[in-house]
Amino acid sequence: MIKPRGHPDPSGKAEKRRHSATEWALFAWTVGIFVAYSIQFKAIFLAILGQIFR
Amino acid sequence: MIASLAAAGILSLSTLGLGSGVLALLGIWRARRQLERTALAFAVGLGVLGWLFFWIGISGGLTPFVSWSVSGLSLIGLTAYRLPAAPEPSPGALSPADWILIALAAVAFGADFLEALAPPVDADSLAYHFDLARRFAENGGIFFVPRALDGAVPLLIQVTYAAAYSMGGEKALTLWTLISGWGASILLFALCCRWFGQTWALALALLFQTVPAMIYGAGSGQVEARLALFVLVSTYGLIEMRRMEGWAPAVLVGLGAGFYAASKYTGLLFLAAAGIALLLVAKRKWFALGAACGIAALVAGGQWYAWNFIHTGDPVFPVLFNALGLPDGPYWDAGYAADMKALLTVRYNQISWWQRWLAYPIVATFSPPVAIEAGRVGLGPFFALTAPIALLGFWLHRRRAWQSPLGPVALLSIIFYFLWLKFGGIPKVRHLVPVLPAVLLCFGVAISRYDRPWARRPVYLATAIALAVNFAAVVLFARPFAQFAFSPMTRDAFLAASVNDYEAVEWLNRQPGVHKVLALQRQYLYYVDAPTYFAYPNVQKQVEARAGKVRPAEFLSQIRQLGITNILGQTLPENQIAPKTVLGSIGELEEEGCLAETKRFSTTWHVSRTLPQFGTNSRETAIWKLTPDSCRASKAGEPKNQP
Repeated sequence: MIKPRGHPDPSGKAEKRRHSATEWALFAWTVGIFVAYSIQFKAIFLAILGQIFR
Repeated sequence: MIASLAAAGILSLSTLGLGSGVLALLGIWRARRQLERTALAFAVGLGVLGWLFFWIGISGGLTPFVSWSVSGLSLIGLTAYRLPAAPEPSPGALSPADWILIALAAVAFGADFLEALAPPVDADSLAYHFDLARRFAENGGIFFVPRALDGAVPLLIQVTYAAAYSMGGEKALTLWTLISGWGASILLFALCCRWFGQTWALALALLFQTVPAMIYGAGSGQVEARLALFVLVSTYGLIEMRRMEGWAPAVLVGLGAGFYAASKYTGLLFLAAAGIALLLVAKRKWFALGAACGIAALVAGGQWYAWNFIHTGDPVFPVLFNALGLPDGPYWDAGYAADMKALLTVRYNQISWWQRWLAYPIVATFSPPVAIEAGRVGLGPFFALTAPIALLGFWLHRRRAWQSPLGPVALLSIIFYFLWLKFGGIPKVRHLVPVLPAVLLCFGVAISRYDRPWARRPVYLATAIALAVNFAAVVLFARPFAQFAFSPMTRDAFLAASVNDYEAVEWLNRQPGVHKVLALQRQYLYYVDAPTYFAYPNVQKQVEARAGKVRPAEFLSQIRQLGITNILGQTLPENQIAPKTVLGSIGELEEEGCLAETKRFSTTWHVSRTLPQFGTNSRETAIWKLTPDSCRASKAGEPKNQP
């Protein structure tokens, strides 16, 4: 069977999925870095919270 | 207060006058955008101001009259503003994000303003940045300070502090640090406007101004926030080399690097990096442009190296003592050189090789060893948060990266980074602050080049997180200054809570007959009214303070030669004092009647003045007085316990 030529994804759904996956990966990176940073500097963050709420 | 405000204001305007005059002479002024040329003029003017006051200082003319007169005359340079600026593109309406960023900038500036209203408390500033400025101003001129690492070093920025102090006292000094501490972010904003819209430009400038290392350093006497101005001058020159013919941009590169070298030894590394970047851009004109850059750098920064050379024979005191084969002298000798080499080796080895060469940015962000001081005064998480997007942006445009006006700037930053890792001693993160705006500019452009719709929201989130982290630090850092400003707290109470051992200094200042003080610690030197001599081991030779080498008779003789009348320092319980140390010698001289303890304080040592939760230690601080009339050692020549 001969496959039809042309745009493989005329609806653009696959492209959108790829975009969405990239965006989520970048979000995950951002949140992950923030969590790692917060863990490292938890003493400082706790001190800040302590000062604000004391 | 009015006089101080006037002094800081005139000094700022004269800085602009000097800078705009130089830029007009170089032909880098006419038809430039107003904000850009003004911010650049302030950066160049700061260097020229420090250069000018060096010559005034060493000729003994650092008096209030001369300082005011020179500042007044420098205003003539403002006539350059009669030359037309480039027409400003009509600014777009401010978006909600712009308003938020402007409000945050106002908060950050307000926090720094509160710091400027309070007496200075930063330990390094009190130890030498402000202390030297005060002593120079009170002396009416610059004198040589024979102390390695923080005395006999390039002091261009501190000389501008001395001018401010001379004109308007302490308040003018702190207001001047406020103004000069914001110059780099304004210039960064102006430069960013060449590449981005105002929102992203504002965000990057604000990120720079509020990274913890800047919050800590910009409002105090730390020089790095001001050195960023000089780096941006060189950056501007490199960018212009791609747009302008002639030697003027190369001179600008040299001026920026020379002013940096005149302010800190690491400026020599920056000078080398700037020189390499310039030569690569200059191509066939490498000799002429390299010479223009080199001569400009030599004129801008060579004076401090000549000053060191005249006094010690070593232009980079004391680093070249062995290399130059210098003989033993009053300020340094082979023994001290060996000890300094050992000390620098210990400092260099504070972090392991892989932390230095393979993972420094990661280590500095996520797991900083204490030695690199990235815990409370680091660079924040922005670079880590946006690294993937910046790398993708760079990768997409990698073939055109060198052709970009920022290509040489990126190369300059990278070369400086590796030179600094190799030769910068302990790689403290805050020492990267000067190149941070250049890196942020390149980083920002790389991020913007990855212009994909799916990258926008993560970038917004990353920027918001980074700003939130920075502003938590802004608020926390400003808290004691706000307390001081808005409560009836006295100056002495504020200083007692913020400066370790301040109570002892305050008491000492009230005593009669205190002509010169030997200080064993340094965090309060600025507040000691009498002249001081800081007897730290390994960095100065005039008072032997190295453990195991101190002999009471020699110690007594040395401090008498310096005209010391009192000693101030922390002490230890008697059973913990080792022989042949400063404290051991003080004890023996007390027994001989040559010294008498006049007061002892139980003091509280704060680990962090911003974060009291980090704890305190109890220390004993004592004050001794020399008692030559009852000194048996001076009659017999030696104390009886002399080994």
